Amino acid sequence: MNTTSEENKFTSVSIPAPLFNKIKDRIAGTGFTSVSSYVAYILREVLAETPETGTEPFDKEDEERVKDRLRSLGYLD
Amino acid sequence: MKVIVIGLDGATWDLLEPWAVTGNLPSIQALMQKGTHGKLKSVIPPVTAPAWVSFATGKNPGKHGCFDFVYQDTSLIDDKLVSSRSINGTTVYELLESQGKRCVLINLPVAYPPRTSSVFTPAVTEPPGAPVYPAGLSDEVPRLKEYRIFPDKTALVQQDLKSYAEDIRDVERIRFECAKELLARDWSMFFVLFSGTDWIQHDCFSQLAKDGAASPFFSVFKDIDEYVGWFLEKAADDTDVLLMSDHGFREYTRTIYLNEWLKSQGYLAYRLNDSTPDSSKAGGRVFNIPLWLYERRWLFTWARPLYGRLRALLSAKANIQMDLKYRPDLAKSKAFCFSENTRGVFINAEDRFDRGIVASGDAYEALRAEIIGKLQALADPQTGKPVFSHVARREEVYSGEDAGKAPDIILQSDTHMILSYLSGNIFSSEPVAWHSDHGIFIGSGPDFKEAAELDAGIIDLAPTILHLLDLPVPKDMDGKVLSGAFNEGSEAAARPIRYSENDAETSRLRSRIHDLKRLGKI
Repeated sequence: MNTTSEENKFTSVSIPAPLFNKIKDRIAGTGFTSVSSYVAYILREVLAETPETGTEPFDKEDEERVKDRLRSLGYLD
Repeated sequence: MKVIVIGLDGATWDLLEPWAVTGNLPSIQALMQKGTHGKLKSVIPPVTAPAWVSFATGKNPGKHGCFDFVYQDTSLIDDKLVSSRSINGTTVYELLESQGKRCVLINLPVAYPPRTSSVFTPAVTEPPGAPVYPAGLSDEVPRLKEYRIFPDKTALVQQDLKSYAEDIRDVERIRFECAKELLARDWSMFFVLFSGTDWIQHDCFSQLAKDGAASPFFSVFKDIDEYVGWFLEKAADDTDVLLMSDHGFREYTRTIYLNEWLKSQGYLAYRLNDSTPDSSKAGGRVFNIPLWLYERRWLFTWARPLYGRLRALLSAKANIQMDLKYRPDLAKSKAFCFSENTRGVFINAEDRFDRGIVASGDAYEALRAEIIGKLQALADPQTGKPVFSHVARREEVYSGEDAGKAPDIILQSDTHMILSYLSGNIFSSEPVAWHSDHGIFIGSGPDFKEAAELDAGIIDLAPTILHLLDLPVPKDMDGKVLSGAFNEGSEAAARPIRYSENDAETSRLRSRIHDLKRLGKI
């Protein structure tokens, strides 16, 4: 397993101190354990090539094809 | 620390344990000896979609809102497929990704469209041709171009079960080949689900139970055991391996057709389905089998067993969609079972459905109590014994903001398969193999006790994975960290369990960023 990949290396980015403190207050008690992890999460989400949001995840034809498949497996009546 | 999670959909100790102890599944046998194993309690209902969502969220369906493969809106005109967008709450893979811990998710149901930038391959709940993520991954890992979501159903339709089993093996072999290559990527949680165990049991469970390793369908299990063995060999010293299933499997010798019973009691009236697939979009023709067939019982009883095969055959070979799904006549029905997967009775309440006829408050409670009383007293005429082991109000089974999406009455039976379609009779003796409430669990690796036993719940796995990876557990998860399975002196045992107040911040960020993307601002 690759444990020394480029993705595991870290570097520093500067942000204004008041913004840093604001984030620190905001993440208290949440699952975020550091300001860095919070900022990295936001940037990853922004850059992620996720499918178009706000639209239906399936069109009608796809939906029927999946249902048909689930029926043939005995998953749906 | 890292975690590999290997899912065997629908696997039960009833089959696996005797096969493992006799050396027919050597990798699973070794895992049992090296680790802590036990039963894994599924959710109610023990169905692939809600069970895997409970795995991913650590929550009961009353919180995440997924009770079936489909859900209904208040019009009850059509049912919609669940997706990652229809489930509430933050998943374990989002929590990990939010802390910079990368995930590989191979065939995790109800995770599409992906919520994170994890490596993702589609599952059985996704449309044919659903892409892998991130975009371009299949250029880096060309093997993914062969990845298949689903076996070819033609052999199944023709009842050629041996060919069907061979095709399932092929789907899983390609999945394994893809998984092998993806294991080389950067990850903290590597998840791979083999669905073939469930698929083959749906059609061949009784033969597997009877003939065991001598069954021609055993090869599906044998292959997957070899794949498990490969992962065990590759797992580094800093890696725990969890083997699990989302529910078990068993045979039911008696069946109750719930809607037939509701109809016999005057709670339910039927009419023809008023919503058929759009033939222009589906590119095929749509046939409805009229209600007169149902009213001619002798013909219906004869035609029903052929219906499933005929429907699949016409769809696969001639692109003709046959629809025998009668919808309740909502103007005349007080209660119905919308989908047998939910194992429950919906009350056609005014404050829940657009065409509801049962007033809220006292009228609703009186009707619910009346139906519960009758179902508790319902005895099978063949045995004279009660049909249901448990008849509960939904609030006794589920908690959380989505509990109101569940059926109003939840049923469990130790003896009877619960089906919803019209059969012409309330009871039948045709044996049916279907899901059971307990799947399998093995935890193995540096943090787990050797040769120990511990029963767990599927909702316990998300908090346990978070703890193994040294992250706090959101307090709103229903599951508990499986501390009893940890090896004394291990890091997981020594480290105090940390909790975070809630997981809402990750959800808030995600939806805010997605809104900004939709508006084109980022």
